[in-house]
Amino acid sequence: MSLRLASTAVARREFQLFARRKSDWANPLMFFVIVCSLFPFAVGSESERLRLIGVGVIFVGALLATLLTLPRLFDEDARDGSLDLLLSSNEPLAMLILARVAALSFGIGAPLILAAPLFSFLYALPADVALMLALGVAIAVPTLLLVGAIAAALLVSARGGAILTAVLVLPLTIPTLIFGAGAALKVLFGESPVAELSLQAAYLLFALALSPLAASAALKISTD
Amino acid sequence: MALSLHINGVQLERGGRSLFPPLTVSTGAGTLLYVRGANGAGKTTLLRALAGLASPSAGEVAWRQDGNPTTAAAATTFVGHANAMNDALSVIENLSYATSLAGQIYRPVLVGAALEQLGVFNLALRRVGTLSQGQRKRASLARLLLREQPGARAWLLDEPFVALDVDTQKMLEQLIAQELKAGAIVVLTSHQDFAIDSAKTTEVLL
Repeated sequence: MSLRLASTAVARREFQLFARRKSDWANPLMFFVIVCSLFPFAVGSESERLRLIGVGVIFVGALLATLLTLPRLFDEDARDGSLDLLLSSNEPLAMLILARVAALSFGIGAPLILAAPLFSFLYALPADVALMLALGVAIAVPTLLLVGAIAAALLVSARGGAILTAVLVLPLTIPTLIFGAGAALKVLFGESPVAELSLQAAYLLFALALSPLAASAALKISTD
Repeated sequence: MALSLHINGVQLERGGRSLFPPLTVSTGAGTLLYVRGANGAGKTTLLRALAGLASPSAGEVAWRQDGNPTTAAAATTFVGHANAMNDALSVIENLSYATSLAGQIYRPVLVGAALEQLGVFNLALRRVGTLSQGQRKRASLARLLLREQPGARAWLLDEPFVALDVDTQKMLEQLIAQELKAGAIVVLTSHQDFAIDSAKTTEVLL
């Protein structure tokens, strides 16, 4: 009962912050838009070439845009002291972190999921590939935030933490990038994307099970 | 309904350096524990350890409710230097978040009464970012009054009088005295002089 109360409160606060500070979700989206719209100018406008790089560019753009938001996870709270409220709660910290990441995935992910198919038309990708890309991004964003939460927790209030967090997380993001982009490419070449999609989803489930625990342990160590 | 605190040979470290010799203190309901010491003596770290936010390198901190062990999370409310309020949210939103995490049911009436007592009821809907330091401090002190019932939780106050004007300081002193009468434990650090009417005061010099 009070766990539900506490995790709802964590998620609600996240949404209140999204409503108050539009830049929290608009900045990653703008970043994504900039990356995706600059590439065609750099590589030329032949639709065959664009089609080949499109999937990769959109996926990497979404990945980087998500990584950009990781410092938001704990740093601000550490500065204003509200992290102490989270840490001194009687409820399991892992569940509260999970609630937070879920809300964040929604706030950051939803705009990216909507934007990804729009940009696939810029890269002359067919509609079924666009949908697969949206699905891939929808799985990738929570995965990245979950994995990133561990690094963000470990480096909370560390100097230069933002870049260090991204560097730490980078290797762990590669599986979801390979499988997510792979699934969309399979669709592009007219093959079945089920294998890639399953592996990408499996990685999400793996992160879902382990990373809240790891992040809560890391957070306790780094704030002790 | 009696809270007690047992600090057993507690030692704390900061940056690999031991802060003070092993500390052993036991206090019961209605006691004001006044923690004194120079800058860097480890007052804040001790308070964080009492709140369960830092773990001692040796010894243990034990909270008991009617003799039964309880967690620091259930037994204490910690108000530190930072106000634990997000600038973009309103006072009431911040307090609602704090009470939910502390495992208390959020009752608007109770929050209203707490803000009224601290004289910041009219700021309830203002964003914290638009408030002055003193107003923020008062709003964050309202967290203390959101306990289940008077005396139910120990108050851990790190420099509570900083940024408060004379009248507000007097009012806070009175609130602390009332809470002590109701059977709470109040642990306090302060570099300012204060006058709290309490039956039992224990001084700890770090």
